[in-house]
Amino acid sequence: SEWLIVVVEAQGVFCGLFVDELLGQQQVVIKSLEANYRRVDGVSAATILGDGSVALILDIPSLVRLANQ
Amino acid sequence: MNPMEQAKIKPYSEIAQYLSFTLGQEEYGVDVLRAQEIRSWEPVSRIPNVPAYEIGVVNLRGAIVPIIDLRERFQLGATLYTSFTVVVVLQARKAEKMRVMGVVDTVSDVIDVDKALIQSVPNFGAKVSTEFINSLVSVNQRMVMLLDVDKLLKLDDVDSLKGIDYDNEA
Repeated sequence: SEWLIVVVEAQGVFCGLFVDELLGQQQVVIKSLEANYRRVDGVSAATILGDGSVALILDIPSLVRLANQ
Repeated sequence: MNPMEQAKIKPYSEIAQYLSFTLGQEEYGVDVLRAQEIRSWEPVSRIPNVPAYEIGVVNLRGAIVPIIDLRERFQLGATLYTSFTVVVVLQARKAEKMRVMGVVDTVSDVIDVDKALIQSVPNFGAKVSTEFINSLVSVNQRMVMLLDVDKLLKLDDVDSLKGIDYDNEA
C-alpha cells in the first residue's frame, strides 16, 4: 500500500512524518496551548480553523527529540 | 426539617450554593460560582501523550479550553458521548483565566446548602478517590459530594509523572 510521508527539517536534521492525508496550506493565528491548558510534548500551540475546530501545531524539534528517546 | 428548608430561613452568609450533577449513581456538587456555563457535547481535538481522562481541547468562542471526562477521572467507567452528553464549564480561581470543561452524566439542580450542615469526608465508601471531594452534604436524604474545583482543574498528574522520569534519568 502507499504511504504519505511529510519530510520536515529541524535544526539541520531531516525526518519524515507518516500522515493519513494532506489537507492544504494556510495561514493561521497561533493560540498558546500552555496558557489555556499546559505544555504538551510534541505540540507547540493550537489554532482555531475556519470551521471552528481546533488544530494542533506540531513542534518538530520536540518531536525529533521524542523520537530519539 | 430538611437542609433546603433550613437554608431558606438562614441569612445568605450561612448558605452556599452548589451546582449538582450525577456521575453514575452518585451525585456531586461544585460551587455554583465556579460553574460558568453548561453545554452539550461537541467534537474535540484530541491531544497526544496525555491521560485518558483528558479528552482534548475544544474551541469555546475562540478560546481553547481543555475538556476532561469526570467519569474517567474518578475511574467510574467509560462515557458514551452523544449529543445529550452534558459538559460543565468550570472556572479556576477568579484571578486566573484558566477554564476547564468537565463531562458529566446529567446536571440536576442548583442546591442551597446550610454551611453548618456540610460534613467532612470519611475515608471510605465513595467510589471516587477522596482527594477531589472537599466535603459531603445530605440534601433531601441524598448524599451530595462537594468537589474541590481547583484539584479537578490541576491537570498535573502527567507533570508529576514526568518529574519522576526526570529523577530516574538523572
